[in-house]
Amino acid sequence: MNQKAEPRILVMIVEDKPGVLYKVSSIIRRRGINIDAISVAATTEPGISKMTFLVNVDEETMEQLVRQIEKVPTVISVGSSPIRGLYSKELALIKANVSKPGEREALRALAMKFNARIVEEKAFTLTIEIVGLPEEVSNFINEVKVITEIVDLSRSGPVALSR
Amino acid sequence: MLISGAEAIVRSLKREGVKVIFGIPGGAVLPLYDALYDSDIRHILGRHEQCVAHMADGYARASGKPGVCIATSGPGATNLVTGLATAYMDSSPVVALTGQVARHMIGKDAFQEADIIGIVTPITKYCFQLTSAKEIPKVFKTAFTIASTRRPGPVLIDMPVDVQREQAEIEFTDELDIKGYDQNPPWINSDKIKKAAEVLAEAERPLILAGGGVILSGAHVELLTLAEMLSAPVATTLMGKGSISEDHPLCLGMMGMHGKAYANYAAIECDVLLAIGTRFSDRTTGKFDEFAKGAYKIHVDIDSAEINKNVRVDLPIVGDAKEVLRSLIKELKKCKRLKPRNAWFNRVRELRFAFEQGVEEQQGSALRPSSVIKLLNKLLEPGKSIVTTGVGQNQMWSALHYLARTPRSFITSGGLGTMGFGFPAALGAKVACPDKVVVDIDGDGSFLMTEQDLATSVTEGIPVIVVILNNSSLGMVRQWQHLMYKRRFIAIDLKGVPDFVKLAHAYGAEGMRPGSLEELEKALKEAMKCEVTTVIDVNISPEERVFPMVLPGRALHEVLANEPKS
Repeated sequence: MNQKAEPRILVMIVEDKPGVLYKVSSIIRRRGINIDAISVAATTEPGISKMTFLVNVDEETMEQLVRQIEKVPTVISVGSSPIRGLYSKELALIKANVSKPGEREALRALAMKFNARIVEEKAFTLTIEIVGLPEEVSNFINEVKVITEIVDLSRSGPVALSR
Repeated sequence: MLISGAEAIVRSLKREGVKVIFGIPGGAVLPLYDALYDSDIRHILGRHEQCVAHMADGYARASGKPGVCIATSGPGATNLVTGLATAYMDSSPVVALTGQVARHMIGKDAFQEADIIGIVTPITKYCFQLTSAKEIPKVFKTAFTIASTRRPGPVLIDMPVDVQREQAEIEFTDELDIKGYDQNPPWINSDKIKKAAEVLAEAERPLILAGGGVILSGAHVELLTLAEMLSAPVATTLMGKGSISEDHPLCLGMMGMHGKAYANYAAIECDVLLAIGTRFSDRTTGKFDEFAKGAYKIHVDIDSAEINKNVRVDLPIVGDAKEVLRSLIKELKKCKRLKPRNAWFNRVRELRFAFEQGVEEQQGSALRPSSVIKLLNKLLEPGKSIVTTGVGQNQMWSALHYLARTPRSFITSGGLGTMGFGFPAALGAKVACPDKVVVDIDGDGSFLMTEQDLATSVTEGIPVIVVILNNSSLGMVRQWQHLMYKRRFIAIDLKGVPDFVKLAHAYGAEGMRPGSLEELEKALKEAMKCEVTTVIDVNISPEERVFPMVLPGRALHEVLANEPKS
């Protein structure tokens, strides 16, 4: 049993009813575990949603979480995996300050290097969209911070599919 | 035909076979009470919502059927919390109905509004809030199904007052409103049954640990058959008391912190442990890593979340206890000849003899906890009596000395350890089994937490017997301060207040204070014939402590069989 905490994805197919997220997150909260990211969205079946959590835990804890979440009557199925074993993507929108000379050009070059897209250009700001592995997105954000100040930032949290 | 939500609720309760409800009315449940006026469901008016929840719980544990309680919105609902948490920890099927402010007032901090769903989500198996009258039949069907199937547990339905009043065309169906819940017991892996049978057949020193799941599943007959087939001794958890008759030669009694010392030693010496319907509570196992350390562990439980939660096992079998035991018995019958295990049987008998030798036998007629409970063993007929307990020393003395001889005859708050549980649970059990003698063995501190429901027992005609082991203190706290805090006693002295005999009389109940075992026997015999509740105040010494004891965090073999010499 792997006792090392690492970023793991918890994927749940749930009934789209009030209180599901509350019940599931309370099971995680009770053990003092922080949820690093959440995404919830519709599936192909009406009334059924998919919830994806990112948590940093060891394998044994994750196994317990999965079994306890499985018991929730509105949860239809649960799966988990270390994030490195999954096909996982995250979207981020970053609005950066480009009021000083050279910043705009530097950001353009950085975006090109990371395969990110410039989605809006204003007099003093630049908005960039990046889609990638969660750690790529984090790396990109860190490099933007080296060049200039970030005015606003929105990350979607990871979504994942098994390979 | 148009009917009101409240009428639909009453009809749904009738469809579930509900005959009795424990409750306290209030503004937000008045439409429901008005509908109950026209029904033949018996309503028992409690005096505190915590008690109506415990009564419903006691009813459920005694009968195996869901117990139902009602409270109004806000404080009524929040007062249920301890009762629901108690039922949740001990897997008891309680259905709680709470009033709620009208739908358009929710979230406006209306008078007597509480977010009860938000409060009870972590301590219920599931909860609902009604959003329309039309959904009532489906919600109630689903609630009762969830509460009483698989691993049972409490379910709460929050009922906005305007939904109770709403007139609608309501269709009654048996359809469930839940996709992620399978009410059928899990499918059993037959390879695992084969493997378990092989291991058990080969075992030199097998030990069975029976938990509350055996009782919930109704697997006591199968448990006995299996134990006798294997000549395996059976220890129980606190919740498992009664899963095997405690006067059977194979029964070792309770294991754990205050378990029988020889049951604890059997856990250390066994080579195969078969645990059935237990969640390996820390109070049963002592230090998890040391528990039955060398033994091959087989764990049977209906709840897969219990597997490897506290104790790592070699062979988990997820399934209903009764079904698993039946399959195991069938598989074992294929073995040509099962080993006689004389050496192990003799060793266990030797352990029992060694530890029982150490326990001083009582002389004379002084009132001591063990002698009081042993007297109850003599007077209470198996199959015709139920014992409930408070929490603390009274509970552990009862667990140690009371011989539970049938399932559902020993009712106690095991997991949550709720003081005040014993008396209202006794009332619920008496309502479920009016022909049985129901005795609450309680402590003075514990009983005082819910004694106001003496009013319920007298006015609703529910006669039970309360035996208070009265040491004028919070005895278990005192014992811990004595053993672990250098006798620096603080906040444990109850100073002999109140006078429980006068208290009983004030409620119109009987009260007695026997001074010797002979007087106690007379008092109990009178109480069994009495048509009102009898409170028997038994004064015991505050210096009485519960032994054996495994200190918290220690392993089972570190058990102190007797008071340490100091």
